[in-house]
Amino acid sequence: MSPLLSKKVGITLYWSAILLAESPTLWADDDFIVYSPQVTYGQSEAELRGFHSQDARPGLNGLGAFESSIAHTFTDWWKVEFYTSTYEQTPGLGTQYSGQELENTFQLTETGQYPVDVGLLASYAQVPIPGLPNSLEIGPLLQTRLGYTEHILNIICQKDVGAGALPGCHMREAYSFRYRLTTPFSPGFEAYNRPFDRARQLGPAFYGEFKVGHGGKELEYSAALLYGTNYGAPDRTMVLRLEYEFF
Amino acid sequence: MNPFSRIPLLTALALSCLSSPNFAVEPDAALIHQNGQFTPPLLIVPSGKKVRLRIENLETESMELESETLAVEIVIPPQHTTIIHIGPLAPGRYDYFNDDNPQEKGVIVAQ
Repeated sequence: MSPLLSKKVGITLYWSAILLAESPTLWADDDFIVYSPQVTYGQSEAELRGFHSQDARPGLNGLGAFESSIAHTFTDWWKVEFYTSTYEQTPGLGTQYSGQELENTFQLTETGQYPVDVGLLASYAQVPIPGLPNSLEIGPLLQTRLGYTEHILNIICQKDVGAGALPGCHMREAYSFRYRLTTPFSPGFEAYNRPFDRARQLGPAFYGEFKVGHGGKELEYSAALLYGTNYGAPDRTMVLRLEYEFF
Repeated sequence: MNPFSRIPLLTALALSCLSSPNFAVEPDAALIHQNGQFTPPLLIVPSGKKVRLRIENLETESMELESETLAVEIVIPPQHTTIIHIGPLAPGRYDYFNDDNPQEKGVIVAQ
């Protein structure tokens, strides 16, 4: 089989798997993270994160993705994060490289200046698979702290661009709650709503951070076990994130 | 509901926070982190009002100012000034420390 033909067969199989799945959804890794609007000038980050879903339906069982990124905050209000690689797992097709992404976080208000800290997310994701669209994302990031609890809400609009783009803006919401028990371990929960995919998930999460040596180096982790609450969502999705912050 | 209709509503909510007149003028306070200590070690601020707090880190390493009673956890880069807002605080004593070096502590008193 020639390389060109095998590429076409691959694309056909890819789309066939998507269309035949009971929930024809591209599960981008960005869907399972809740962004904070707060940035720290001069700080750099290296991050790994991923998710894996389980479901009795073959089209949803084994869906997953993982990605790596690096970030730097250039001013008191602007952070740039570059996702160097994103891989998606599709039932029946294995793991495929799914592109890169450039993401900007803008902190719009000073910390604690208003009842809610406000930021903005703006990103562009490039998908290397011919026939699949790239995407733009934009939306507000909201965060507040009430005593020992922290609440973050993201409301994101995703717009396909380029070949194969679906019309309209696909909204999604993400919410996290954290109870600041201790620095190494804080329990909470996360909720994700994807109306376009008719998928709603929520479940327990926990968060923590550890100092690494001196000089502001820190390792942060978080994990969540999300349960689908409607038909479009997988029964269970496990999420894991690791981030190394340094100056 | 038209998904596009959420964006103007959210923008209006965000702008309403920004334009709230209650936060137009806030008393200022300042902390300096240098030589492993905070200056002043006891900072007095007015109670019942939001306070704009300038934290100046003169060290060559970052620090993380943390206080559960103040509901603050913020990283201050090396040789950098960060502004946060605290309060309104009820009258009382609020402890804080540098999470990167917990023996570096200070107190904010609201009165």
